Amino acid sequence: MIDDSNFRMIDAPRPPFPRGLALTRGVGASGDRVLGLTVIVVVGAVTFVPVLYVLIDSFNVAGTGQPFRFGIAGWAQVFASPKTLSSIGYSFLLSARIPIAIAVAFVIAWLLVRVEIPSHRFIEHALWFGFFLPVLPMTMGWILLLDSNYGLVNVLLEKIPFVNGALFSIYSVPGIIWVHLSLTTVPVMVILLAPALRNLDAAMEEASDVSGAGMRTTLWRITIPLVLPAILTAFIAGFIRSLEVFEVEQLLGTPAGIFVYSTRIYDLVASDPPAYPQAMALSALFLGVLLVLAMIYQHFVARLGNRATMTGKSTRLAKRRGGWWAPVASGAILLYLAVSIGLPLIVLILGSFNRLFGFFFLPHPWTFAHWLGVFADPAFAGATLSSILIGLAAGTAGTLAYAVLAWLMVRSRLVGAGLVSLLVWLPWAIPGLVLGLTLSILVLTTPGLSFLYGTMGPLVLAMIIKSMPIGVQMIRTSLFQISRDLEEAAQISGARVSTVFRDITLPLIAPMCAAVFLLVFMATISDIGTLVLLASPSTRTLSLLMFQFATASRPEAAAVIGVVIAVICLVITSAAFRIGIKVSVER
Amino acid sequence: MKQFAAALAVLVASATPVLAADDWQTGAGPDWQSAFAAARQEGKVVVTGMGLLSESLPAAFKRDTGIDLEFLAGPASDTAARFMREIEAGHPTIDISLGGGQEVALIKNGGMVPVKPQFMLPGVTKPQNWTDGHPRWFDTAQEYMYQGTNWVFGWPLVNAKLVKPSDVASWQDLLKPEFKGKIAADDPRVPGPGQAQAAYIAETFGTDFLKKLYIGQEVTLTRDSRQLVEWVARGVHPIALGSLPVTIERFRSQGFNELTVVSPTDGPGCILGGFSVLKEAKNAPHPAAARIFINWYASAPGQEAYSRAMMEPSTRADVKPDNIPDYMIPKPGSKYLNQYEQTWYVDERPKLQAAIIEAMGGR
Repeated sequence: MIDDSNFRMIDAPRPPFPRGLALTRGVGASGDRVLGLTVIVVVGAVTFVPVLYVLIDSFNVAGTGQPFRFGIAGWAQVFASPKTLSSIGYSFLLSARIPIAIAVAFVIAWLLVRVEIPSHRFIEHALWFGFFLPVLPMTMGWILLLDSNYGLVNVLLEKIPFVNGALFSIYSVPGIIWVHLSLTTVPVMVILLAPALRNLDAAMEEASDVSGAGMRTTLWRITIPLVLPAILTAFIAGFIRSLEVFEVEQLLGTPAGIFVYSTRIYDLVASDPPAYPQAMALSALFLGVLLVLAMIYQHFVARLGNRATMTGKSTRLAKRRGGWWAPVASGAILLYLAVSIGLPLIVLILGSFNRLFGFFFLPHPWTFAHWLGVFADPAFAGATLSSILIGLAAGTAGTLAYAVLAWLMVRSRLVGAGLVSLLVWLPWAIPGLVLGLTLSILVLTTPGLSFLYGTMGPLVLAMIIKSMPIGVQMIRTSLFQISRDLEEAAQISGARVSTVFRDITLPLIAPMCAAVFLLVFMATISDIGTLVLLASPSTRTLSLLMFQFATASRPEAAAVIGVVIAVICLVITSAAFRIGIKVSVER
Repeated sequence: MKQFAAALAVLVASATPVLAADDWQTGAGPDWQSAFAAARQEGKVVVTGMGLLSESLPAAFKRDTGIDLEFLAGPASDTAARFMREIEAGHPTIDISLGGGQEVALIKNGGMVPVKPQFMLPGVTKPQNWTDGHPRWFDTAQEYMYQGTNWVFGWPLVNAKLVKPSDVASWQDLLKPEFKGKIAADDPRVPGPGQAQAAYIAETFGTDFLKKLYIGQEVTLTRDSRQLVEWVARGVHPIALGSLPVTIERFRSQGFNELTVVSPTDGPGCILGGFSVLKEAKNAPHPAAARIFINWYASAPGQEAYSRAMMEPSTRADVKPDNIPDYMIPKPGSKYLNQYEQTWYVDERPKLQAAIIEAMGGR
């Protein structure tokens, strides 16, 4: 409902029914309590136990293989080590990219979804494709472009008369920020914001236009407040992820002496002997940061109230017509994509055909040998199969689990829903590397679970856990936008809760579920840190094979795998876009 | 075209059934035949080691034995830590670890199986097949950690187009003002070639010299061994410390002949075994296949496969691949610091590690 005089959103009146659907018909509150407890135990087991292990191990000062010995040396070292404190500082400094990314991503998402601009489908597809591209080889591509000594861009720019010296240096804070903005942060923010913007009823913005408000006012007073939950999700997701990312910082930060939270933990774990207490204490430190952010998120979401943008009345999801500026905006986005995604991808492809990766000016610099070598390697076929199987399993099981969890949190009278809301954030409290290490230890040492070690099971579980925060929040955001009256109407008509979920809710959140499935599937194919300590030779994925080549000083073979993963991204996202159109609520 | 032919050769070799190299089993008794049969029953052996071995070693082992080799590759510190973690949990999935000496602590805890008693082939036990008259061992007991190669490390690498090799005749020359900011090194703060290099410098010349070199000369650090050599090849940093021979020779084979290894007169370097040290896990999942692998690895074809892939000179007298650079072969009469022995590794190395990390500004 809009207050005509000053365009402020007023919370819609609460419906006459009790908040949330009763899940356990005929059993009443005790049934809801039992279900709530069950959900808390199950979610807690997969999210809280690894975190608890990290917390406990941060107080274990015994050597490797020795019995537990309590001590606070690890925590003391965290606060006493200038390197560790510096890494924490750099982590927060580099997270400055998040507000920049949100601003850029919101503009792009709004243009894509709310305005008729040319090539919008291609742009959206390209952003999805860009996000799923593997970070490690794409970063190698950026190094070849922006290294201050031999980067192609710098070499070309230095030919300009008034340019003295390299203009860009990839091994720097701005370099790291740029690589993230181009490869991960902006694309994922667009992916998070676009579905929320897509589900806006055009009537609300049209009412604002008709009342004489300009586009900017409508954007600021109507559109942004309506999608504030999605923006908040994107901000928190982006901020937390910025603290735990690893590959870019490892490649670009180490030569410049820039260590961040995740690379510092890797540093400590990889040292001889491993400095586990300090590594675990550092991991646990950010649990506090995450909990604060999660509580802020819960608080704001509760305050925002009903932000339903799709109701039981007719909902029109139309775009506004763009003016003369629409093709200009489209051109600007296409240029941005060409630079941020196209350039490093082209260099990566070319590098895979180099005799020596990155040396384009050798005599006879090209060869097919690396491609032949990779395809002939039996590990390649195995890794491809593992990637597909683990990706499908994690994507399917994960999406279903997240949808059920999100629905229980948003729509039901589940006892303990608030606690579950906090628990689902926990997997982001620890970096993927530490999560993988912890899971491998837990599986190895827990009676009855060790038979799973070396199989695909722990890898599937690891990816479901790792993607839980983003998956649940994305579906939850989608559910916020759907008015309860749609489901309550079905229940009043006699539909069971499961029927309501299957026939009413699922189709409405299907585009978001498809997005979540894709995210989890591609995360599995691209993940290195979480899976590297869990995978065996028979369960190794393509990204781990790529990592193996990279660490064995075979960047050409790593580039080949990178291109293969890029092709898989292209095929999967193209298929997903086709399927997404068929099940879209717009139809 | 050459690279295409080489790739095709790999394809053909891996598809060709066992034909050659059966003489490594010459003189084997009936015990060997039963062990072989048991190994074939198990069907595979799981080995962890350096990524460069991930193609050649499984292909060669399969060619010579018909048994599959599953290779888990990764950085040495990661694979060693995983090997140890699984053994300590009582659930090893890896039979054999090929690496350095990091797992030496397992000997005391009973986490490793003696390797020496498993040598069954005459080709392995015959003294004349070894440069030292016997297999080389990392551990003091000389039975747990078999070391397959033995080579010289710890020499600077220079780009001869930018820095004359004669200008780096001694280690002291690296402190010359004109080299400030021009030296790169593998990071000595983490296990790896960089630490081995720094340990040699610290042991030979003291930690003050180490500080003057790494800190005073503003050495740029990297943990990417290829990037280190690439920097020298591109002239970004014309001097490097801690570069790996296999990477140097790869660049040289592509025409970068200006990459020159220097042998300083005041310090010839240290002796390493690279990633060749073989260890077997207690309760290995495929013990019979592991036994066959141990014997194959210590025989000529196994050493040939390893030595050629890693460009490390074997401790076998009858294995001399033609791709081993001269600067890796120990020279008689030279005094090298042997870093591949348990006493040094357990007693001296931790002190040097601590001193290096402190000299570099702490952990």
